Amino acid sequence: MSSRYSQLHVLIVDDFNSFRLTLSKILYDMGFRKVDSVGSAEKALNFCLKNHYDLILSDYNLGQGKNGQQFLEELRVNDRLKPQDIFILLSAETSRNVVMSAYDCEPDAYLTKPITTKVIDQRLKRLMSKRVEMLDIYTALANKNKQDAISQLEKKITEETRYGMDCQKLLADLYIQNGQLEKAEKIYRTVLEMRALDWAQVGLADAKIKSGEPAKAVEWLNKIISENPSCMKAYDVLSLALKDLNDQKNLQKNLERAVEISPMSLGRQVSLARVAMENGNAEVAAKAYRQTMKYGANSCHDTTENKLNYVKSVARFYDQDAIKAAEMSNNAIEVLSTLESKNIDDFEMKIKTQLLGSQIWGLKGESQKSKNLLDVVVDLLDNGDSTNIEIKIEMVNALTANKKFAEADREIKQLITDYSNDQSSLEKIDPLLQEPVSERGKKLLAKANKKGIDAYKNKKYDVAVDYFSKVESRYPRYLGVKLNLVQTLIAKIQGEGSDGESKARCTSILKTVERTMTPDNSQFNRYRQLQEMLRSRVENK
Amino acid sequence: MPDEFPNNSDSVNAGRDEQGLDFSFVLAASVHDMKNSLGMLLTSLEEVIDHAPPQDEVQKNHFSILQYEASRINSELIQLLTIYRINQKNLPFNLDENYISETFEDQVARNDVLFRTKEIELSIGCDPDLAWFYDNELIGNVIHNVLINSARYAKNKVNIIAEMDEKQLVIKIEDDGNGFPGFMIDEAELGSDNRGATDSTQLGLFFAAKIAHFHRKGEVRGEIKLYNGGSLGGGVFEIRLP
Repeated sequence: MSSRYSQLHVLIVDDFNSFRLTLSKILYDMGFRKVDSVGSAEKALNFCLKNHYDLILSDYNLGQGKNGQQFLEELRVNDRLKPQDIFILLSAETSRNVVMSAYDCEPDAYLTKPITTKVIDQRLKRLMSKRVEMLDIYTALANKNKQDAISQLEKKITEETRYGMDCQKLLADLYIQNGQLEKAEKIYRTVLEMRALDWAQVGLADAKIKSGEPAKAVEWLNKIISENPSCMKAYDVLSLALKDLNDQKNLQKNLERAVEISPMSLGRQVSLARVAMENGNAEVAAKAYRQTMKYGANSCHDTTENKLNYVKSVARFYDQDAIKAAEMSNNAIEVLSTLESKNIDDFEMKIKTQLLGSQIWGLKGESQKSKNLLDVVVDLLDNGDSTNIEIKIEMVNALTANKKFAEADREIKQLITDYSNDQSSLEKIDPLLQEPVSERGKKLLAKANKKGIDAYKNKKYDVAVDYFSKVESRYPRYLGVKLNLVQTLIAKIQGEGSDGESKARCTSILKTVERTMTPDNSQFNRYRQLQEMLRSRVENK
Repeated sequence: MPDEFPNNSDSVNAGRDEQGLDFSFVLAASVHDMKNSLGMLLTSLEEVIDHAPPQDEVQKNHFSILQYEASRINSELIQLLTIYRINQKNLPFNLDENYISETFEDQVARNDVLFRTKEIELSIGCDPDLAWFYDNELIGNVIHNVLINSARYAKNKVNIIAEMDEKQLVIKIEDDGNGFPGFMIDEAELGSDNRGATDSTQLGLFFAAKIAHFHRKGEVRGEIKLYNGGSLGGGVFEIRLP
């Protein structure tokens, strides 16, 4: 046995020297001879670039820098782990968040400290004998030879080995990847006849999505989640189904539930932030990006892009709730200053940083700081660099935040002419405007307004509020919709009595209108009227 | 990285309501801290015993007391946290097929030092190919607690056995001690929902019953039972999993 282990390369990662020694000794006694050990994930990553390791034992908590899970993620991202390699995560951490996210990244084993010599010894022996048994299959997978792996697995399953269940799971997975959905489904159903195991239920739902029945999958997955809310895989597959169905609202809801259960899973936080932003829910997006920064320091999710998007979501949130957004603004500025000190090479990122900075300072009312940053960008762009639509849009936002409405207006008009034949760019411009220019935006607005006004006329105020709110959250500058919403809320208060919430909402919406409202605006009179109504009729009630 | 659990200011899971701090959350957070410290202590203790094996009976006895008491507190803290999570409805539950012999080996290995210092012979009686459906972590913890308890009451021997009975897995942990007192046996008869974990000695039973209850197939749920006798003539702890 020992001769078999002696050729395998092992890496131990732990910030405690004594634990490294203990582990080395255990491994030596088992017959391992090529054992390296390091005290940090950064050093470990360096070692992994130079050598290939068959077995890695890493502590979760590695002091400063990356933790063990981030180390594993990084190995995966850089494709440094082969299917036959064994990664063991050791941890004294049993807090729920840590355990959930550690399970999420699926190490081959997760061992909780305190840990006795015998436990490690036994677990290693088991993992090693599984590796021996499955080695040919893993090698086929490592060589991207799926068909070979599949036929080996099919054979292995008939042999009734100790790893039958693992083989079934792996085989079903490969069938799905290969588009052999009926075969995958058959495996899942056979397993489910024995027992309602989560992985088989989720797998079956996945097969349903791939065979074009996402609605059915959604139904199943919701049931799985209600029975076992900690089944993270179910949320992920549900997200796939909801994307297929283009159900943005429930997609966001699903991701919100998932990150509530496992807040340290950064991939989901980023997905949530993106969906929320698309749905116009800047507050949810800002919170999700913030979690990404909180838990993701040092990880591969610790990107400039995520940070900029965080600031962007705070800036957008100003259009929806200026008071709450102001509470977040200090944090956004802190993030920006760390970005500036990082001296970004990427020209586009650099420009975005300055533009977002200008926006936040402007929105905070620090006009001089805002103007300075804007001037820097104008100088940089004057050097003749061409820019893309996204930067141009941030430029408009910065001008607006600087109260340079006339200039912002000119820029927008220019954009609309420049991109008049490009619907997808026009859709990106829509949110900047007081009414949409893209075909899709126009249709969306007309539809919501018609339904909302019908409901208003029938005194179904809550229904009307729903229709208007939907558009308002996505396109917070559409003046007409905003004023429709305020008018409906006032009618609601007058009809049903005041509930503090509706009144506060009216005030907050009118405050965002005030920022861009000028007397020459066609909606100016209506705006003043509503302001007056809110003051006289509602506040005296 | 410091543990995020106790000072997790904006997680929705923090168990904090708008009005102020939820006391059970504070308790859970500090239990969590205590458990981590104790884990460190146990690891150091193992190293101490390894480096400086006991020289005489008195020393050996001291080591075994240290080992036993620390393990006991540790496992009680784990139980407390698990029960807290059950009440918060956020206990991760991971049902899968496991080899019982491996679960047994893990728990026996986990308590290796304790049983060696106590000079109690621990034997496993189980078909190595017997596999069943349960959460390995949770059932492992139940077995761990029972083993620690029997390390105290057994004279020389503890058996840990698994077998199938009417399509249910039956795990038995037997010792050659004086057996359970009658009131404890009665306590275990009551379902987990009818019992409060009022008495500290009963926490282990409460925990085991809760975990058993979590395991179900259709309408049938897992159960625990205590009785005296078995092949060693002492106390027997039994858990049945459908």
